[in-house]
Order: sequence, then C-alpha cells, then structure tokens
Amino acid sequence: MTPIFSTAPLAAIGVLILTALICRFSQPRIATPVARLGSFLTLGAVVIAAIGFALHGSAQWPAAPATILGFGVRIDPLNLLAMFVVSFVGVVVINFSRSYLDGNPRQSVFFARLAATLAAVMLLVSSATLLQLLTGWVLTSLTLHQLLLFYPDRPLAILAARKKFWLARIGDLALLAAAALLIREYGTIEIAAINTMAAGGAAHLNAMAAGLLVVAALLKSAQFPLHGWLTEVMETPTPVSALLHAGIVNAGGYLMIRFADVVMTSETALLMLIVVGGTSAVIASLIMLTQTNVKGQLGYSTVAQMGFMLLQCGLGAFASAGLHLIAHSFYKAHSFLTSGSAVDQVREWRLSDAGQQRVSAGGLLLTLMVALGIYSLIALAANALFSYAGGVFALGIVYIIGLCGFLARGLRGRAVLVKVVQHAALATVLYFTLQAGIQAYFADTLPSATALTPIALGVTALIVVAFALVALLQFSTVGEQSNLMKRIYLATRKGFYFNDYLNRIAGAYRRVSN
Amino acid sequence: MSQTETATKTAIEKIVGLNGWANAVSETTLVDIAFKAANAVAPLWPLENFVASNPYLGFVGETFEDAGVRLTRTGYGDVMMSSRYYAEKIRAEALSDQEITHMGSAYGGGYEQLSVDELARELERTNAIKETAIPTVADVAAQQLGIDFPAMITESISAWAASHFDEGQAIWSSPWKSLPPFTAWQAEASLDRQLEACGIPGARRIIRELPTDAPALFHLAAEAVPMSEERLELYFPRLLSSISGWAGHARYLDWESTQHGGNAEKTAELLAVRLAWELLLLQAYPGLSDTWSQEQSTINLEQSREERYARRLRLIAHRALEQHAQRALIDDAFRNPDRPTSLPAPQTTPDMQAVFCIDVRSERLRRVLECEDPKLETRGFAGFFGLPIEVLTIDGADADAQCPVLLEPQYQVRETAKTAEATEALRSKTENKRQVGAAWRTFNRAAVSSFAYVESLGLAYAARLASDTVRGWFGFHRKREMAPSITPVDACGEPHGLASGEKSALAESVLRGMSLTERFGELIALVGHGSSAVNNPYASRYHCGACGGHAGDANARLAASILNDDAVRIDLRAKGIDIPESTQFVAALHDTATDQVSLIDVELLPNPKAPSIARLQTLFDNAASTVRLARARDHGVMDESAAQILRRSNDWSEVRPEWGLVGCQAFIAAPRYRTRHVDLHGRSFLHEYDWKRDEGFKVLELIMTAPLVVASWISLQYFASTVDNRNLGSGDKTLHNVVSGIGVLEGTGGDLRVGLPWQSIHDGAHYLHQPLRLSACIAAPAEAITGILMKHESVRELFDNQWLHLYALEDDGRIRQYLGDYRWKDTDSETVQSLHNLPQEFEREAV
Repeated sequence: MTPIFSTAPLAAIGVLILTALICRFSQPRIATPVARLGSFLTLGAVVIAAIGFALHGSAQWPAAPATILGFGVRIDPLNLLAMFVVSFVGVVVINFSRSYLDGNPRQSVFFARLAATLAAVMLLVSSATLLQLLTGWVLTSLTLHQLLLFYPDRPLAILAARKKFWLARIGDLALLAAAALLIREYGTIEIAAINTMAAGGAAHLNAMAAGLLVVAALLKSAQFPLHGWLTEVMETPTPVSALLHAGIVNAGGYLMIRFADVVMTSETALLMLIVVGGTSAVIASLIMLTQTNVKGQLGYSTVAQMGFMLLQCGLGAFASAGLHLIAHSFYKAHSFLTSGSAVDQVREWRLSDAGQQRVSAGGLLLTLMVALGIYSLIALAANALFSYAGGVFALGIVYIIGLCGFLARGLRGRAVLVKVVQHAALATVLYFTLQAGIQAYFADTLPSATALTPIALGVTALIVVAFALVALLQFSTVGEQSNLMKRIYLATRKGFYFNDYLNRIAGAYRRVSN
Repeated sequence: MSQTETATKTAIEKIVGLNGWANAVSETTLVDIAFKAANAVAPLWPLENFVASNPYLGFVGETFEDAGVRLTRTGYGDVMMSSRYYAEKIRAEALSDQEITHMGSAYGGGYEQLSVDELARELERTNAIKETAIPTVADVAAQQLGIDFPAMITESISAWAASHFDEGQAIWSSPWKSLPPFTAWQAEASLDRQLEACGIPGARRIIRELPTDAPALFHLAAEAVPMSEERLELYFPRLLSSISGWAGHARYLDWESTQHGGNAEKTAELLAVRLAWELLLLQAYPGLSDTWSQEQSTINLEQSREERYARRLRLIAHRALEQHAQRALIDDAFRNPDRPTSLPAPQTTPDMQAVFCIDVRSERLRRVLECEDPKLETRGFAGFFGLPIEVLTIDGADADAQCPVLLEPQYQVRETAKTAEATEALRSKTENKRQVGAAWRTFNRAAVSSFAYVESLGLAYAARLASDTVRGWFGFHRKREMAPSITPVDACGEPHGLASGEKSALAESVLRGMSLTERFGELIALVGHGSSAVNNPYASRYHCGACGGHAGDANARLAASILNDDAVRIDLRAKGIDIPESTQFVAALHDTATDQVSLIDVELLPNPKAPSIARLQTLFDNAASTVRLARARDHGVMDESAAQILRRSNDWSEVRPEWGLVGCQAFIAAPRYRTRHVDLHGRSFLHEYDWKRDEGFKVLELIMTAPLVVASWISLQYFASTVDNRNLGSGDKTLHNVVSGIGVLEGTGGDLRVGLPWQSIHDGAHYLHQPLRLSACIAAPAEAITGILMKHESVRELFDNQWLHLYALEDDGRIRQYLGDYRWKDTDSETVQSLHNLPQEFEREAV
C-alpha cells in the first residue's frame, strides 16, 4: 500500500495552483492573505512529507510502475530537500512581498505569478517520471518569464527576458532529446528505475543522454559564456530575484543530481561539467569583484556558485553539490532580500580600511599554514582527511584557499587574528559536520565518486590553480596597477564582452521604427 | 607644441574636416558656459547622509514659469504635474469659478474668463501637448540610424561613473580612479571594446585621438560643434541632463570640495565626457554631420504658441490650487473666528518645556503633548540646536558633520564611554569588531572564499530568513544604539572641553535663537530626531535634515550638557538670561518611525531623581501611542492599528517605514501660542520666533537664511519628486539596486537616480503629497522681513521668482502677502492674493 504521506507533494502543488487562481482574480486585500496562507500550507505539506519520509523512507505515488497519464510524484532524499528549499523560500518571498509591493495595484497579479512559478518548480522537483520532470522544467521557465516581465514596458527587462527565453528553449530541447533517448534505451519513464539501470545501459546512448542533460543543466544555471541574462534580470521586484537565484537557477544542479547515475556513466559529461562549471566559477567570481552595484554583484556570485556546484557534480561529489545547492539558496535569497542594506555594508567596509590593506607574502604564507593546520586538524578529528576519492580532494583544497582569504583579512593585530582563527576553526568544524551529514543523508541513493581520468585530473588541477590565482589577485589589486592589470581589470568588469555581443544579437538598443 | 596640443590639433582637423559650420563662440565663452551648465546641476547627496536638496537649485534665478520651460527644454524635468492631473484635481477640490478667474486675470487676454469647467476641459484637450527637450547628436543619430544611442550613452557613462566614483562596493576598484574624471574616462574608453561590440565602428581609435583632459576637449568642441551662445546655453545642460544622476553626484563632490576651499571641476569634467560622446558619434558616422547641421538650422528654441498656452493653463490651475490650500491654512490658523486676532502671550511659567526640531513630523507630537499636559510648553528650533559639530566614532574611523549642509562644522565631538579606561576598552573593542567584521565580509563575498563560506555557513541563512520574516510581523520598539557618552575633542582627537567662553556664547545664541530667555520651566527637554527603518537604502533621509542626514542625539546631548553647566549659567545671568537653579536641560531623541521619545543621559543631570523626569517620560510614552493612532488614521490605512506603525520600522520588507515629511506645505516662524489651537496635520515646519525679543532682527535673519532655506529644499524635493518622478524622483523602490555605496539604480542599469522614490509620495491609489510651493508665514513686521530680503539676494530670489510664497503675520492681526520687488499687499479673508510679478502682455492664444 502506498503510504498516504506520499501524496503530500500533490497537495502542495494543488494549493499553489489554487492560490495562483484566487490571487489572479481578486483584489490585493484578499490576494495577500490568500497567498500567505497558500505559502504556509505548501510548507506544511512538505513538512508532512518529511515526517512520512523519516518514518517510512522513500515513497512514490502512484506506486511504481503505475503513473497517472505519465505523471507521478516521488519523495526521496533529493526531492524532499529541493521541495523544502522551494516551499521555504516561497514562504519568505511571499511574506516579503506583502509589504514590499503594498500599494501596487498589480500586487495580486504578482502573487498569482509567484504562486504559479512556485507550483511549476514544485512539479519539477517532486517528479517521479520523465514526463513530469520535463513538464515542470518547461513550465518553470514560462511562469518565470511572466515574473521577469512584471513591468512589461522596461526595455532592459524585455531584452534580458528575450535572451533567457531563447536559451531556455534550447535547454528544453536538450532535455527533451535526453528524455527520449533514456526512454528508448530503458523502456520506462520512471526516473528511479532509469538510475538503477543506468550502469548496465549502452555506453554511447548513456553518453549522449548525459551530454544532453549536462547541456540543459548548464543553460538553466546560466553558465559561462551564456550567463548574461541572469545578471541582467534585476528589472523586476527584488523578491523575484530572490526566488530566481534561490529556487530556480539551481534546477541545473538538481537535474545533475537527479540523474547522477546516468551522468556518472559518461566521462565526457563529467569533464564538460568540470570544464564549464569550473571556468564559470573562476571567471564569474573574478567579474563579481569588479561590479559596482549590489544586485549585479549578487548575479555574478550566483553564476560562480552554480559553476562551483556543477564542478562538484563533475567531480562526482553529488552529495556535496546537494548541500551546496540548498546552502546557496538560503544564502542568496537572504542576500537579495537584504540588498537594501548595502549602503551600511559599504560604509563598514570603507571604515575598516580593508580594501586598502596590502598583505605581504609572509602574511599570505602564514595564513596558508594556519588554514592548512586548521583544516588538517579538524579533518583528522573527523577522520575525513583521506576518505575522499579522486578529484573530491580538490574541493578540500578550494576550501583551504577560501579560508586563506578570510584569515588574511584578519592580519590586523593579535586580538583580531585570534578571533578570526577561532571563527575559522568553528566554520571548519561546521563544514566537516555538514559534509558528513549530507553524505549520510544521501547514503545509498547517490553514486559515490570514482577516480578521475587523467584528463579530468589535469583539468581539475588547472582549475584549482586558477582558483588560487584569483584568490591571490584580490590582494594585489591594491594601489598602483600595471598596464596589463589595467587591461585585465577593464575586460573583467565588462564581463569579457561576451554579453555585449550577445546583446547585439538579441537586438539591444535597436529601435523598432523611426 | 606639447603632446596634448598636437593631439588636440589633429583631432580638430579630423572633426572640423567633417563639417564646416561657421560662427563658433569664442573658447573662453564656451568654457564659461560649460561651467555655468555644471553649476546649474543640483547636488545629489549620497545615501549615507541623504540630505534633501532643491532639484531646481540651478534654476532659481529664473521665475517658476520660465524655469519650467527651460528645465523641459534641457531635459531635466518639469515643475508641474500633467494637464490631466490638474483637470481632475480642480474638480475634485471643488474650486470655485471665482478662484480660477482670479488667477486667470493675472494673464488677461481672455484667461480671466475661464470657469472651472472650461479650464478642466481645456486642460484635458491640451494634455497631449508635451514640450520636448532639444536634440543632441545622439538623438539625431538615433533618428537616422535606428539605434537607441541616448540609452546606450546613459548606460555606458553610468557604468563607468559607478566604478570611477565607487565608495567600496567593488572589491577590485578601477585603476583610473585617482585621475580627473574626463582623463580617467578617456584612458579607459580608449581600451574598451564594448562600444565596438555595441556596433560603433572604430570607437577606441576615435577616443584615443581625443584630448586627454577636459579643457582641451572643450577647446576641441568649440571648433567641432560650433553653436551660437544662446544655443549652447541649452545644449550643455541638455547633455548633462542625460546623465543627471551622476552629474548630481559630481556636483555634490564639487560642493564638498569648495566648502573645504578646493576646486570644483568634476561636474564640468562629466560634461566633457558626455560631449566626447557627441564627437565620437559625429566621427564614427560621417553621414551624421549633415543631418546635425540641418537640425541646427531648423530647430526652434522658443516655445510654440500651443505649448505656451498649455503650460499657462496648467500654471493657472496650479496657482488656483495653491491659493485654495493657502487660504485653508491661513484662515484656519490665523483668521479663526473663534479666536481674537491678537492673542496675549502666555504669562505663567510652564512646569516643563520640550524643544523639538522644526521638522513637520514633530508638530503632531507637540500638539498631543500640549493637550495631555497644559503645563508643558513646546517649541520648535532647528534640530542641530545651533551646534555645528562633527561627530567622530569612538575609534575615530568616521566623522559625520551634524549640522545643516549650508554650514561648516566648527567643533569636533567624539563618542566615548563614561571613564577614560572604559573609553579605551570600548575603543579597542569597536576597532576589533570592525576588523573582524571586514574579515567576515571577505569570507562572505570575495572570490573563492565565498564558496567556502556557503559550504560552511550557507545553511545558517535559513535561520536568518526565518527570523527576519517573523520579526517583520511584530511591532516592538528598538532603541537606537548610542555611545554611552560624548566628549568634545581637539583637532588631534584628544578630549578637550570647550572653553567656557565658547560654551557661554553657544548657550546664549541657542537660547535667543529659540526665543527662550525667560519663563524657564523646571525641566527642559531638547528633542532631536532620527528614524529606525531597517534594510532601507533611503533610511538616512528619514533622519534629521538639520543634522546633515543623521539622527540628532549627539547635538541634543551636547546642548543639554552645555546648558546645565554652572559656569555657563553664571555667564548667561550676566547677559540677562537668568536660568533658575532648579531648571534642568535633558537631551532626548524622537524616533519618527515609532514616535517614541527617549530621554538620554538622565544620570548625568544635576538632579536625576527629580519627579519631573518621570512625569515627562510618561507624557512622551502616552503621546507616542496617541500619535501612532492618528498617523494610522491619517494615512487612510483603516485596518492598521497603532501597533502596525511599530511593525513598519522593524519590517525588512517595508518600503514605507514612515511617511517622512510628506505633505509639507508651510513654514511658520511665530510664537507657539499663535498656532497652538490649530491642527496643522503634520504639514508645517514650526519655528519658535518672537520678534519683540529679537534685537536688530538678527534671529530673523538667521531663520530666513538657514532653517527656511533648508525647509524650502525639503519641500521642493518632495515637490519635484511628485511632479516629475521619472526625471526628478527615483522611481520604483522595488527595483532599486544600490550602486557604489552612493545611490540607487532603478533595475539593472540606467543613470543614478535622484530624488525620492515613488512609494514615498504615493500610496498606490493616491498622491500622498500635493505639490504645493512652501508658504512661509513669519510673525514679524513686513518691513523687517523686507530688510532681510534686501540683505540676502539669494533668499529674495526664492520669493521674487515664486519658488516660495511669503506672508507676514502682523501683530494687529493683518496678514500681508509678499508680491515681489519688496512690495506687500494686505490680504482679506475672501481671497488670499498669490499673484505677483506676472508679465501682462500675453494674450490668451488659441482659445
């Protein structure tokens, strides 16, 4: 018998659709409480699903292999996590929009579109079948499109939405093709079944399907060089940015983790993820450093974080990618919603004089030693130092490089350094705890990392070196800069011009008639 | 010949070769006009201390009507609402035909025969007539090539300016930051492939051949874009208005720089940047110059008859509406039949006094307090309490000028703890906290570090999202964090009490300034104000304008400590101001978001246990809830309880934590007893003033040159943001995107936005602010006021050119209106005249 809790995702989707419909046809006075109630009920349904999962484990409705017209919902570790993120962010953005859009005559429309988009994402992340996944995937993009054009007359909104629209359609085609291949090869539309059988499938078919899945994921997650739309969709109210960056753009990561077994069968697909994800992470975080407006900075930050997440997938660390997905969601939603505080943050930064601080080579060496020390000690204590396979070890190195940045800014007197080292140690304890936790959570449901091919290993090493260089660069931009650095700075700030050419193709600044 | 000159010459030859127009103005004249255009830009204060400034500042030398035409011609914006608004408004306000005729008669020529219905109809009919800005090369190019160059230019210059003026948003900042703006732009743009990516052929080469400094560029332009002087005077402002936000920021930097005796060239440099774009287009598209010179010869700089007619109709409606509101105010406040025209001043000594900032938001609170306790007297005075101070943070990292921006700070004050040891401990704690905070910020947002940050701490943001969401649901009063104490310091930052002579002089001028020289109560509160909004880029604009966009607690604290000083009291006695020994001055802070008033430094008072202190605090607490209720009602938010008002100041998603100074329409300098019985609905700046105590009208001079000017800036900022939010306001707050730590963009790009957000003047259904020019009502003999106007050209200009209205409230009950040119006219209760200085020669065309 199918446990009753397994229908909870259906209830959540139903509530959201109903909410969207009521909001669409009512005044803000009614739409506001309805939307809030809808968001709470959705979260409630996900909590019920979580309780059911804790008691009974994964479940599917209708029980496999049955489907309802090819649709079916599934509660398993990944879907549950994604559903929780979406419904939680949904509660936050809908409640945020209550005051934020207060007085806007189209507030009900806004709520309706928010709820519709949330429903589409819920449909996507509760999929048991390929058909539902595909439907959710396309609907998410279409409903989001409506949100991006909430102010339909803004030229930049139209431009960004147009770019996004066509890129998304290419992604849709890739996903459709992948789905067709998978159905043909495995004779089922059930995702769990496909994953179970993947290891035994035909290699070339697997590779093609995996490649197409990767293409869909890279497009969805705004990876370089087709990232431009993501950094330009600030032409719509802030809560939409929060939802997009926290709940939708990581659908690419979701797709990779969902089909981890398929993706793992193809070394090429993994290499694609490493190359494009890693490059995006490096380049976008470099561009981020030069951006002058807070939302643009957050946009590039998302491209970089998504790149990092896909790099994790490419390295076979799917569980870590899952953790990164949810952690980034909360982090980015909060960053967008509090972007109004940027003035105070810039002021604090300026007063601390940190931007003017040069760090000596000796200082950097010291921080590296300390970071290594903290990392190794805690890793030893957690018995995790050598437990990572292959390229996953690279992720540890990236963590250490990141920690160095934190510690280097703490080189300001003993009292400050002591505090910063303490905080760094605490953060590292948290890091290992969470990694262990997520591995346990996903145990048995995700494939474990295998050794990298020599090419992948080489590429990974290059990317890690690039990370280290970027980290170093941040400390060498203080004061006078050479001509070469000036040129690099400019090209970086302009995003290496990729987006300008893309904009030209998309018809930016073109006037329709004279 | 220097390298620059050679380069210039080559460039001139190239460009002049393209077009052979004659009659350029001389180069010196051209540079003069450039600087004049630069100075006409209104300074835009950064968000950190967003002080209201008059967006029409560069145009006050012209009459309201003429400036309106020129502002529109140069693309800055307008001074009036749309015709449709006026058509609806004159009907909604039920204006009488007589009121309209009265205004129309100023023009004669048929305008005087308009009835309300006719005017409304004509306004509707002319609504489509829109005056347009004169074209730039970019406009002409857009027409010819079908590419939106104006948008591209604004976008491009704005992105460059954001990095050039960045205050620390980017971690990797521009390497050309230290150069003068034009030089920096030229250096950068000549390497920038973006323009070519956008489709402008040879952009880098053309820019590389431009001169490298602004003067040389003007030199070049004088020959390359020759124009008559008359045209240039519109053309240069037109160029600046296309980047008016960043030009405003540059103008602010120039303003600050001249205050410290420095140069003011940044705005003109920005003009050079925009001008360079014109030259770039002319050279990149050789076919353009012919079209451009054709355009030059055909353009009509004057208004058309139709445009003038439409504008004049709006003006008549606008004035009629103003007069309508003024009559309501004046009849209600000063001609109330229930009250004798001449009131005796109160003779008894009150138990307590509370001195508030003149800010319109204090008026409501003052009325409630007075009703609650008749033995409490309130006064209005500029909220910096006459102390031009600069406040240093405890670690000396930052210094804020807490006085009106028209003044230069004279004294430094540092935040401290109670004892020297405690101060040192707090100092190092603050400093360490700042540094640890900076390290965290690096961890949080630097490249690579942010990956590690998300991996380890990202999940914790779920808790923050939850707590921020929940916090927004509840209203509770958060107290502003204040330093335990403040101490005057010397130039090196060392503690250094003010010399007692200085203190006494300050004390005397403060007391005389607020006309408080006798009848001292037992407890006198000096109430500064600030606002407690969260997550709001515009938070500082709710603070005290008289304190330079900061909360006024430091000024109030210092003023109270000076006035409690025994030595100061002795000196004051010698100067004829006898403060009783039992009188205590206590500082307080009014949180305008919650209307809560908290007393500060009570334990430092000579007698901290005095019963009056508890009594005053209770009064404040009671008044706060009454005012909150009134505010909730006033804004028509029927389902909003007083608790909801508290919620607003805590809610991270709130775009209207309070309504600020919305609705401000009058400045009244008079003894409080003349306005005490009227509810002014929080729309009037109230300055205490008693001319009979004002020897030589020195205080009047101060009021008219400082607080009145500040009030006019505030009121004109609301005015401009209401009449033309697209050009002079900052648009939709839900799209705001903080840039460079300085201001906001609306959305992804575009120019830096100026003025107030749409949400600040509109509730979604209605305008909360009615655009009315401020009515200054001064209880003093008209002749004395004339005397001040004669001395201060810049103040006279505001009234003579009709940017403000002026009334003299005579002691015998007469109300006289200023007509300009030092002329006054008695008003009767039937009509408040408000026309002056109008040219009579116009015909009512086209009717």
